[in-house]
Amino acid sequence: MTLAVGDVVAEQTYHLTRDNLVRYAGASGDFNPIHYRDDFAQSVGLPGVLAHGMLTMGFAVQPVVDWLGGDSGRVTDYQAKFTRPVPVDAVAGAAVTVLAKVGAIDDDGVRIDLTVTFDGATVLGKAQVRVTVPA
Amino acid sequence: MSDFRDLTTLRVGGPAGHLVEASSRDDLVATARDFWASPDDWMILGGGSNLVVADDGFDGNVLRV
Repeated sequence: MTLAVGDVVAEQTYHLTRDNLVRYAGASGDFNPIHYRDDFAQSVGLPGVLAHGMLTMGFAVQPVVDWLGGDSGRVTDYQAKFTRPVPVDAVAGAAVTVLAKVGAIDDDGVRIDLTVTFDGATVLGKAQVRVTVPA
Repeated sequence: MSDFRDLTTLRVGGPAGHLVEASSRDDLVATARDFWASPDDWMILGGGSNLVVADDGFDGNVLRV
């Protein structure tokens, strides 16, 4: 497989629902009510219930793992900043799109840069995934 | 010594080097100034969500708010 900087390796849209947030709360132990109660979220100045940042970060790397044939062991580093919240509507949910492009290629492997967008704006900053290339 | 597995929602992670819990605003400011004056690494710990710590832990100053 020959890769070049700028190549799109994956693009995927995820439809997040409140159901996902409840399940992630249980799985992660993060029961902060901003992730399941609109009244509480609004009382602390948020637009409404938000997705957990780690949930967004977690599923945003999945298209890259899929591209690696499911071999998550080839992901050696993953970083991102939670730059904008993802409000998840009780009825409509939230559609989050992940675009994964080759950002750099060096002796250690490949850096994949993720552009993760909700409602036309990016929600993760400097989202970069380091992956090794098979020998 | 406290372990991050007892301080984070994911319940994983090794030792938190030097852990100080701030109980008041003044306490927070005083402890932060101490930490910043030290050559050791430091970190702020809140409710422990958004944090995944390795089994090695963090060998520095941890200010728990």
